[in-house]
Amino acid sequence: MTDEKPLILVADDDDDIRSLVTFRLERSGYEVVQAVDGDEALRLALERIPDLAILDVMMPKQTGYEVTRAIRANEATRRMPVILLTARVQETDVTRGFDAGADDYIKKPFSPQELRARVQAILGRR
Amino acid sequence: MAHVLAAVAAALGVLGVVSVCVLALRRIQVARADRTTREAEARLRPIALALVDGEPVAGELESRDALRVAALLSRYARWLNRDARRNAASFFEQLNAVDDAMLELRARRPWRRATAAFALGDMGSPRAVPALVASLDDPSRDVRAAATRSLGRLGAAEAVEPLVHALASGHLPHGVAGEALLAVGADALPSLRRLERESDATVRAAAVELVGLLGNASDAPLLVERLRDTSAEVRAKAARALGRLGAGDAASALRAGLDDRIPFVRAAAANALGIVGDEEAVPALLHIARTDRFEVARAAARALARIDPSRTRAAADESPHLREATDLLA
Amino acid sequence: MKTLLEILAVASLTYFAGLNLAYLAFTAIAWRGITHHRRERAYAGADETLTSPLTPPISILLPAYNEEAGIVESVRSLLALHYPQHEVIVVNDGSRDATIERLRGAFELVPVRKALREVVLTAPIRATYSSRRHPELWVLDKENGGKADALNAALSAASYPYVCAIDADAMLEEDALLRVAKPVLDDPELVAAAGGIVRIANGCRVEHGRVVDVALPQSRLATLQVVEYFRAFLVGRVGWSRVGALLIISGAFGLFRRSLVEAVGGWSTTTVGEDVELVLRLHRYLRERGERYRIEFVPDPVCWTEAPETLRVLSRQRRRWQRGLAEALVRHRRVIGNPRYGALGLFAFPYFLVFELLGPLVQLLALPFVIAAYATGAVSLQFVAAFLVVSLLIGILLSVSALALEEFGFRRHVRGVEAGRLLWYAVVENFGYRQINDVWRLIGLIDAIQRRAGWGEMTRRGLGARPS
Repeated sequence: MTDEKPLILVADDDDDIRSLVTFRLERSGYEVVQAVDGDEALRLALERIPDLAILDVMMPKQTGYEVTRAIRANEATRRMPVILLTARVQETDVTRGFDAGADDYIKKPFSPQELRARVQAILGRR
Repeated sequence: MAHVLAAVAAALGVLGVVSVCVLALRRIQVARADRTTREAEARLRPIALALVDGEPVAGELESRDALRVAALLSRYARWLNRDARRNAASFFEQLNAVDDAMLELRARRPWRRATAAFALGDMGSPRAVPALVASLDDPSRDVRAAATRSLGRLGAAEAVEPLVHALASGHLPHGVAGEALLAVGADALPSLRRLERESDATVRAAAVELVGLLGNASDAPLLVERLRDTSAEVRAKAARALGRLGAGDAASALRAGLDDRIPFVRAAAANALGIVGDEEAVPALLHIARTDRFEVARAAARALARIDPSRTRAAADESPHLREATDLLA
Repeated sequence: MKTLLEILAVASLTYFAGLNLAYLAFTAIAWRGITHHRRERAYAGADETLTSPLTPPISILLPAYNEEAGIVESVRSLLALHYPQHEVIVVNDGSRDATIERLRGAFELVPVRKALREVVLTAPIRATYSSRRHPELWVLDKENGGKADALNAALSAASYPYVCAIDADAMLEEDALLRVAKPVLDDPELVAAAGGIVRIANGCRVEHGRVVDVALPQSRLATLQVVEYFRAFLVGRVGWSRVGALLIISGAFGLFRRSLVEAVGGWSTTTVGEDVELVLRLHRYLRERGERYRIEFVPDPVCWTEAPETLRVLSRQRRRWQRGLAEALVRHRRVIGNPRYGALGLFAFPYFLVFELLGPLVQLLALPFVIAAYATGAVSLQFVAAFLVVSLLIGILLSVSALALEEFGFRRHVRGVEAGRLLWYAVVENFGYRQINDVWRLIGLIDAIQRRAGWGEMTRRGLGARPS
């Protein structure tokens, strides 16, 4: 699980968003593994047990909420911090995210710098 | 007669063959262009991503590549907020893309003007704002819409007033204009507060709705004033806005709204009271849930369920809406 | 006798000339429409509306009868649509299979006594359910009353200002609701209804109720329908929409302003063409009140459906469509030629009457007439030959131009082999498929005249089943 570089899972069905986030994180010294949909995201989360997961909410196959719930339900990944990337920011969506077990959420459009800062803050605490 | 037909037949035959050839050729052309673009993009993506990160381009880019990088940046710009786009903005300036686009705003074909107006939003240069504001009066609706979106993307607070006026007079697609104003964010509030008092009711209504979405607790007094507006639309939107802002001290004014002549205003007041959680409204809400028309009674029942679940359950049999609200509480 | 046949031959020529001129006009209008649409994508930006609190919420109305095979997939994919705020109202129309049980199990339904508006009367509703997991899902269990009746029941339970009527076997793309709601979002005061395009899913790979890979069907019959749909949908409806006379919003996927549907009394339970009939009624209601309005066709590919692959089921479907059209046109016959109804009365109705309703009859009789005319020496052999060739070529050209529109506009069928196959079928379509369609439509017309009842059931394989 932990080596030199912390491992981060980035899951989003949009190629551009994945590129933007991955680039910034890799530049900051993290190792990144990517997923394009909910099923792949969950599989990678359980297989590679990353130090943090960044999940898009609206993904095909399983939503970010569902993947978060599954991560929380599994003993090995229960404590993994999860940040949700969401375009929807109605009040209900935010609470839904936290109810599912997410630690934080970031609105789209977003700033990769800010995302990295949040990642650093969360990982720094551990 | 037959000869005419035969000639027509021949002409059609030729036309058919020609069109099939054109289609086939176009397909090949498009496939080839797609392939080249994909390869180029793969090559240029790291440069574009670095630019977003703030790292300037090392060395010169040939013009076609520069255009491709610009296209990539525009795509990325969709997902990036204003801060994150600042780095890319200088790249566009370097390319003179901003000036070129502003020139295109005066092109003859509407779609060219529209494409330019749209692109300016992603390029992130505030220099373009005056020209875009001027485009809000373009004869083509598509151009106006694109200019609107870009003004939102650029966060142009100075464009808020012209935007709201154009929205109120129906010149702009409703959704695009609303979105643009929301994109400007809190910077739009000073203008919006002024517009809450405009003579045109549609302008007031739009301003009130946006203040509800962007404002804060200090906006409550102005909104309470609007609860007594002459226009029902404004009154209803003011109630909604107060609910959104969670303004507890507006409760008594909202309670007065429960007696409004117009049903949708009553419903909006009921909703807001439910969000705010005003216990003093319970008797009035009960009455409305029992006796008022469908939409209003439903709003009242739902509000009641939020404020006082036990009271709601007790009154469950007194109205279908109270019954529904009770069942949902379980 | 000879002169009579001569006259008839000329008459049918005039008919064909008129028809094809109309098609040409449509194709031209559709080209403009689609070019504009394509260019628009460069500056339209639909993604922002996803986040917007200003986007009007929509109630999806889903009537279901004997849908146990695919109902859960269907509802799941509807709940997962990309849209800021929407609810799904499923109506179990007295199914005799396990539809309601499947729903109960999959979505943790609990009985909730929902208050129903009941502006339009329906068959009795036995129970109403809400879902614990998905508060935006409602299920109504009612006694059988037919699709229109089920839609009216769902209407009764709808909370939002816009309703979207959907067929249980229709598969929507993720952005479908956003795309079809765009005209409404742009002009909420003006747009009364909007319809999307329906595409054929046979041969496409479907996962979780969504089409993930577009491919042409294996079945020849289904592929012929693909070409036909391009011609009928892309060309026809884009054209009519642009002149403000869109008659048909597909029953599989249509968005309406709820208050208007209630005002006109909901969907009609006394016709098989309830989708056409509702749109006509809306047009009339709004025009008679002198209100400015638009009913739009949104050409983006957004809704997929399974097409019949056997002649028997296809014939039933076409007969039913024709009968529905006939019933709707007859019911609203005062619109024909009436300038008070604008383009609808002056162009759309007469067109549909002459070319769509009576057209099959003329088209089937044309060839026999021409041959009879030749047999009696009224016309020369060259005439007959030229006539045949011209009809065929025009038919082919129209199908090809519809394909071209698809190419330029949307390019969903990307594989070269598929394009070739489509082209081939565009040619082949004219040698038999069109003719048999005319036969079915003629029978449908006769049905309408005789008022035969009944729907026939389309054997459905259910969503998520791999195409065989």
